[in-house]
Amino acid sequence: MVTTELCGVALENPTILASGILGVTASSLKRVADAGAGAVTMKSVGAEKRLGHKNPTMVEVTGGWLNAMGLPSPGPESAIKEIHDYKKRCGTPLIASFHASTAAGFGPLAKRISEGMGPGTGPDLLEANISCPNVESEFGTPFSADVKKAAQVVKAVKSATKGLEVPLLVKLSPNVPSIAAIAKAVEKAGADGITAINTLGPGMVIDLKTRKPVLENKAGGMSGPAVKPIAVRCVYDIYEAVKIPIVGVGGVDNGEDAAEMIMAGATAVGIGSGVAYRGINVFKEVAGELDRFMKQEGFKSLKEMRGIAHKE
Amino acid sequence: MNKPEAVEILEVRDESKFAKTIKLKKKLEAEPGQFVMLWIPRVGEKPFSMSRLDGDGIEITFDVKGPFTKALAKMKRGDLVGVRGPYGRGWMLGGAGGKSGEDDYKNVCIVAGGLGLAPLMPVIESNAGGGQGKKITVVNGVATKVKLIFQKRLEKAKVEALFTTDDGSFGKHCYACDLLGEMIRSKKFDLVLTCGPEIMMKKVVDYCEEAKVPCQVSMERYMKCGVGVCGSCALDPDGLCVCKDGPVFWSKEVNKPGGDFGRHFRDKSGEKNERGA
Repeated sequence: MVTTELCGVALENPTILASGILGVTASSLKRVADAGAGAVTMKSVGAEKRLGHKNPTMVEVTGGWLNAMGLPSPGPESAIKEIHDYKKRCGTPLIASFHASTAAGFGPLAKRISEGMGPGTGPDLLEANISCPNVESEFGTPFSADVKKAAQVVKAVKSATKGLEVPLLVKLSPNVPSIAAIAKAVEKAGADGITAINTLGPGMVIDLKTRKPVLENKAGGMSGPAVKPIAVRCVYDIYEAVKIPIVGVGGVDNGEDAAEMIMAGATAVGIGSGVAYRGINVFKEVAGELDRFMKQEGFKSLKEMRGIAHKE
Repeated sequence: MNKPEAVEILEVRDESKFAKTIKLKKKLEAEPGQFVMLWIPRVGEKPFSMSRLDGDGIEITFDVKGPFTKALAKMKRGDLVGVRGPYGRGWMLGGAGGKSGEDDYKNVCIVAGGLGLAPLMPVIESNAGGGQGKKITVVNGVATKVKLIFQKRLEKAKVEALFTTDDGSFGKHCYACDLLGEMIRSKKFDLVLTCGPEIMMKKVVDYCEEAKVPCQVSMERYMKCGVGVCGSCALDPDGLCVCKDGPVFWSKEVNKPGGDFGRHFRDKSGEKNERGA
């Protein structure tokens, strides 16, 4: 199986469980790791306990899904226990997604999560979620829409976690005029990698008979195969703009989707909605399909294929 | 498409002083024990197992408790409710209608606590009067006599039905699980199905495991997506999702050391909580 390395962390294969999917509990994350994911991302942790939006929080659309979970989180202390429990039971790298309502608030939260319950109990990587599209009425415009605010988040995390040496990924939104400009800003501020993209939109589904939006939040971010071309373009643009590694997320359901992301410049690929279509074995299957594709096409390593679409 | 379909309510009727049944203008190819997500716009969306699958529309029976069921109880014939599903895994009895590879259980005991009888009614009625070659014994426990439901349907199904009440106002003055415990060895059941308060189901499972009788439980957890993606209803220790891998589980799948069954539940935030006795 083809291996990769993300910000110094070795992955047995380049598939990663994307944030927000089966990531609430240690047991669930372990199940995904056992099913073949190269790394797993925990559901985004907030600074305080939050219940999230009321149901319906997810609805299927042509080519994908809309979701508006509304950042439910048990808060840092519960999340740290889950991370510790996971680390005791599973060796597959864990990425801890986290979010705060202010740029400065990302710093202390990142520090708390990274410290965990002592050395070796924390996550292998952090992922700053600055791009949730579903909490704007409460949290304001996502930080991922503003070069200065995005950079402030990174600086806050980097200064708060100095000495803890947990690499920081920053999850970006496609809902901006130039994702490359945001990517450059977070790289300059010290980010170790970029995850792209968060969900698109947000979109809306209206039920014709009741004449009401289906989602309780009315709008929800879109994921699934229909967003893949946008995700691929975003990864391509980011690769042109920065040197740090990229985790390509958005509509990756099979090995060829993964190959496309890697050709655009991704170091690893996130899978989320793919779990809904192919079940929990999607990680092993995508990794196997990518392996076969590379053999067929004569690629000896991911490095050889990475960013190849940029060559003249 | 996993999207609610707005369907008309055909009937709302009282099952008891506390429980109601709604009948929907919707037929579903569903296994007994599977569930649907019901949506009331601007109120919410919640999972419910069907209490009737045959006939010209599915039925759902519920206790009028929280904001959602209170809103549902106020709805009338012709009102619209959203339905998506069916979801999850139902009861596994094997034999006619069962999946290949399943054992064909012949002497099945059903232990239901309160409204837990609802998702078991389709099993009871599809095996009525010993049809399908299965003998069904029902043990139905409720807190008090006025909470009994489905009395006529049980009579009509011609199954042996035993009742318990917590206060002795009807049937035997004990818990349903304890009545099972008294008769599990003498009756030689080859399968026990249980649905009800988790503390009761835990006792049922303990009796079954002690007597080496296979047992299935129908679990309830806070759900969001219903399709095994969001992870809200994942159970410790194996991360099985109640919405997709269940809601019906073999007891050996969930009754494990360090497991949630009978001990913990998670709230809407995902936080793990101790289950009160």
